[in-house]
Amino acid sequence: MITSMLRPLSIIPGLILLGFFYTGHGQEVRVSTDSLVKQFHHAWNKEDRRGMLELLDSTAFFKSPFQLRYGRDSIAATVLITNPPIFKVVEQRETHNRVRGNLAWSIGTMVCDWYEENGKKKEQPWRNDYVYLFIRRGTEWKLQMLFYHE
Amino acid sequence: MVLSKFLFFLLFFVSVSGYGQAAVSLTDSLVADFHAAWNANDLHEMLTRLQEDAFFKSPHQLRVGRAELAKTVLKSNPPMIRDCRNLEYYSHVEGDIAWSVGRLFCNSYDESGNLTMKGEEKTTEYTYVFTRNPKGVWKIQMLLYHE
Repeated sequence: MITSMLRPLSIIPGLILLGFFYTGHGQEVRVSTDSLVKQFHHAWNKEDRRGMLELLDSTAFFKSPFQLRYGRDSIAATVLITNPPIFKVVEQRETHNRVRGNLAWSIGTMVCDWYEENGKKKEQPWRNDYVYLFIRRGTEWKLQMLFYHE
Repeated sequence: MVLSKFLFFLLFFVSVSGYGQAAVSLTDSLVADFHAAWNANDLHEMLTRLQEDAFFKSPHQLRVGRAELAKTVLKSNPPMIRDCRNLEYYSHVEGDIAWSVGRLFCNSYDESGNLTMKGEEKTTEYTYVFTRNPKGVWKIQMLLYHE
């Protein structure tokens, strides 16, 4: 009696296992881009310029409605100095990703807390869309393009 | 006299070829090629220049995949925004990846076909990323625009 009652439960481990593999497969592509984005934003939020530069390819470029910076050195000397103290990423949501050979990209939206020069937080957060392009260098993925839309 | 004519033609030839070589990069010619199809409102020709998984991103819309682009932005926009020409700022080619960054000048038209704005009045910045397929053909992978 008890055995027959429990029999339907025997399917649960199978479902869990199936769910695990399905999730794992689904995340495999997503993680390779979304986690890279998070890694970069983590370094950004800490104002860890060295950490950010390690994630950037030497030929990376930065493009927003306000500025265009070619090359890691140029980015390091400009936007990575001025912007991380002002914008702190508090939320990111990937809406599309793709891995294509040695290229990968992530498209999403992000919300940043926005600070004035005196350190005071503005009431309205700053929302924008991002497109990040990654290039594989050996076994490592590097950020190749940082593109922002308001 | 004959010598001076020869020197004139030689000078003309050298200056023209030099100008042509300096102005055109691989990426610039790929951009111009796509815009020629765009300006002709030739959907088939535009699609042949796009990778199947290409995407379009502007402040107003995101379209993923050649089929979706065909049904939306490549259908609605070329009749309204055309006569496009571009000025490339930056070009990079590396292996099977290339990109072009520059400014677009397109005329705007209303639904009746009347010119509403000249390209010089409202420009758009573009970033196009290209990938080369195994057959050696370059195609557009990403179309990104800033107003």
